[in-house]
Amino acid sequence: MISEELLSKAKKGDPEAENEIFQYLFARFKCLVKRRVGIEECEDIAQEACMTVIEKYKNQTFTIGFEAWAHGVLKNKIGNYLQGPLQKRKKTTTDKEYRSAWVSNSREAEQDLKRQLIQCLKKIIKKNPAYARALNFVHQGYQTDEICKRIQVTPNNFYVILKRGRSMLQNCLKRGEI
Amino acid sequence: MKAKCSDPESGALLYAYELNILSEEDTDRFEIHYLSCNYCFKQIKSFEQEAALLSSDSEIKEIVRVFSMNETGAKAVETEGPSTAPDRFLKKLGHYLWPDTPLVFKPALAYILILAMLLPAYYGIKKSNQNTIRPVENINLTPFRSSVAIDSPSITERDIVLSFVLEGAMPGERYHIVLETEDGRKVFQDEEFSRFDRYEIGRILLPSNKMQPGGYRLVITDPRTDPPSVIQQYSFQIAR
Repeated sequence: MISEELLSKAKKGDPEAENEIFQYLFARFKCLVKRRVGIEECEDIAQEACMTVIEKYKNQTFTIGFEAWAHGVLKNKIGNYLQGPLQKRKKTTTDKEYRSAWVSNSREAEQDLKRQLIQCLKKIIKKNPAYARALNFVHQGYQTDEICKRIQVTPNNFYVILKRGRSMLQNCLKRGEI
Repeated sequence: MKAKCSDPESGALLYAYELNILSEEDTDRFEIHYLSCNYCFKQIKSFEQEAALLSSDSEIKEIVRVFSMNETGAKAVETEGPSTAPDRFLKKLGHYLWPDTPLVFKPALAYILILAMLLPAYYGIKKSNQNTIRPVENINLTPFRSSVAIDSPSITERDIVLSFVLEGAMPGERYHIVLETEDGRKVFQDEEFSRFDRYEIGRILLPSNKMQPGGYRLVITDPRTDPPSVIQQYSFQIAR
């Protein structure tokens, strides 16, 4: 978290503090942009958003918190990118693009991860059918609210189902067993 | 010390965020939280490839789909993907019809049940109406009028009540009655006809589909004599 102290230091012109904020935001922005736009342009957009934040935050009076304001800046950058003339056809990332944004460059590594994931998933869905059911609805394109209605759980319980399934998967991937 | 999420309420959205199933509002809420939470950042980073595969890989989708189909069995309809308009209509209809709540809360089902009960009643009433007295055409045959020609526009559309006199007929006694066409085809035959009234008049009902225009002969014989003797004979003509 960016502390008030760090912010005030950076505001006073401390280059180290400024750099720290830049690095902090850049790592997080990159992840967010990757999800929305894809891997190709994520660094450029994240960098641009960070530059804008660093340029403007000194003169900004924060009524909503620094992170929320920075998030707004990033969203604007993404919006501008998506509305740009060359990117109109790529306004949404398809499944394939989305996946390709996340998998590593190595095809073998990707296949290996996928194989392990499938093995673990097969074990897990037998022990945790609620997770499989939730995943099935995810694959069908439903949003959280709709899935909760369909499997008749509250959103909090739904998040718990996802959390349990995820942690089982992580354990399985690490140790090879649930 | 184990790191924890700085805002568990927003942090709970992480698991749905990873799978891209949050609403726009919740996505923004989580992302703002994520910018200030190291724990969530690490969580997202540590599972990003797996989450991407989980939510979008076609092989994984197929595995989950098949498992869910087997698991839910009859509820496999849920696995049919984003539904089309007819599917949605059927699902909605099913939702209204399936009695998972007391029947009084299922108006569509109540209407269908009422209709199902009304249908037999409707057909019963219709049938009973059909059984009510229908107009008939009367043909009266007497010894003084033993050969008649009946010419009525509805003679072939209505049932015919054929009244005939048998002089000396005794109530309760049995007679052999045959109605046949001129070419010998039998239209009606009763070997034990005994329905004569006290005026010695017998009546038979002949369905309209049996009576075609043409000549007919009614022969009444007494079966008690040996051989049976003809005791009365009438002939009549139905005009075209």
